[in-house]
Amino acid sequence: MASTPPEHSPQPSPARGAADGWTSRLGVILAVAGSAVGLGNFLRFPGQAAANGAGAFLIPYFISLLVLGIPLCWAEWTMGRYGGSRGFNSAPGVFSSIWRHPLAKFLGMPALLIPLVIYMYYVVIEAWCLGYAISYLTGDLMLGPGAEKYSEFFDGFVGAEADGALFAAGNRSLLWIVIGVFALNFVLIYRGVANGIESFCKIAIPAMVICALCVLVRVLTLPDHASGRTLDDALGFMWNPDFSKLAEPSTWLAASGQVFFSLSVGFGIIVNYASYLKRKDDVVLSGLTAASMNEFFEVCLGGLITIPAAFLFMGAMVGDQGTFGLGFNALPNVFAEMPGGRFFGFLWFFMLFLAAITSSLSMLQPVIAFFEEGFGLKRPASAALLGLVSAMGSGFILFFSGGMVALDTFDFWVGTALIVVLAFIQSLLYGWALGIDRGAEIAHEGAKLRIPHVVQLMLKYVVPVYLLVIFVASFWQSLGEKIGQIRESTVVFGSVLFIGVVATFLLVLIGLAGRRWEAEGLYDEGESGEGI
Amino acid sequence: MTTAGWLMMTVSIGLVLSLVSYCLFSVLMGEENEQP
Repeated sequence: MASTPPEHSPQPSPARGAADGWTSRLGVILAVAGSAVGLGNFLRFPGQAAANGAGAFLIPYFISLLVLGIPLCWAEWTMGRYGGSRGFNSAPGVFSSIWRHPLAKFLGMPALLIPLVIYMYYVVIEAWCLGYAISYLTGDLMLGPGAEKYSEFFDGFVGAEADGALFAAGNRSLLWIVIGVFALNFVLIYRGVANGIESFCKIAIPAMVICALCVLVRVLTLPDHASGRTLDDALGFMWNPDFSKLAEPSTWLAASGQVFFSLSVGFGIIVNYASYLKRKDDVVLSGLTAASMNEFFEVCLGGLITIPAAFLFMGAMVGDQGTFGLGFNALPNVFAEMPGGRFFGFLWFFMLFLAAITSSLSMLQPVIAFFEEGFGLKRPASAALLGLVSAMGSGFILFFSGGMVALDTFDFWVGTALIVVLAFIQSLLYGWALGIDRGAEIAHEGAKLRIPHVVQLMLKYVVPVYLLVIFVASFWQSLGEKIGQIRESTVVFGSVLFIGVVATFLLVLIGLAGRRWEAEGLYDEGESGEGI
Repeated sequence: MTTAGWLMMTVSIGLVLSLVSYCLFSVLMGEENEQP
């Protein structure tokens, strides 16, 4: 694997397929932050913290951010801009430009499969958020106190009762919302990186901050609950540290997992976004800014709103809710009891919708970029092909909605397990194929900050081991159970088969694109003569 | 909330706010300086 990539060309070749790019540094930072900020910041993080030592959870969390999260972000930004300077915007091309081996382009397959498959179910969750926001506007979700009412509403709305429930007459509201959200994503992606993604994120991120701050002010000014619980108790449930939890490995694992999943590293998105930067554009400060914005949403907003509000109205039982339970069952119950709850419920779910759409947009761009540079497709053809494939996946998720089995299966195999694998591949490509000295040199071109050398050493030696530990500890134990489910459940089997077919399809396309790049001599463009 | 809770909350939020403010300030100042 150890091979030296060539020097930058004096005049880098333009990206194939599109001469698209960011119009400002703030634009790309907002786009990357928008990609990272999602439901996990507001729902998963507070739940993980409350269950793992509350305030004490922040200690392993910040350590993981420094050791794992930010270094991986910098590596992805650096590799992406490097690949972009050699004319590649998609992971197969970028990885080939870093490691000149026939297999390198195939290592980029997960970087296409992950965003594509996650988009298939994420767009459905995005539609849940918009549907809930609309339900607050119409008053349909003001059902009064009683957790079971919201649980029933949720099951009916998402079709969790049975497969095909969303296609039954009289229960198609989610279906229409999904179609609308799906179309909105493709309109924005069709407009390109600058006019679509960047322009939208410049509006959506400030709008999210405003919505979240309004809800935060409401939560922090709530009166005491009739049960006697006060806001002070509620904040204490989220922040009072239980230092004994620091002795448990599971706390450290949960913290590093949260950092990893939250920053959108290992999704193949940052590599793609950074590839549209110019050669002398800064990646170090930009990467740190995007990561810190994600932390602002997670720690400052997610940490002060979700669990404190839910605890104040519902007590300690909120600690047992999962991500969806907290977001779509507990919080609507809270808004029903809260003064001005209908308005704040709308603001909250509209903000979650914005957080989701800035993420789903980022999942489409890597695949669009691959279709365009791999086969010379124009935007209408690439968008149509991607629309067809992703609509099939979303249709599969919508039809097999019973118990959300298909969604959970897609999320486990691709949205949870495979992203650790891709992050591992990327850490090896950066640390061992590109090399940390060359990596530092490339990262510091045009940089507004210096990356300490110890970070490069961590990227080479610590991060791959850390990722292996996360993978083994998080998934190894549940792997047997998950494989058992494939044998027992037709829907799980069908879901895994679907993912396998898409992966095979992408591998074939990557092989064909690689031949095209080889025949056109694109791998050799920009070499300084030092070769590999 | 206990004193330790207040401390954890204040330090955590303070750290994040300081980092994001520094980064955004640097980016915005840099963009201003790069204007033709």
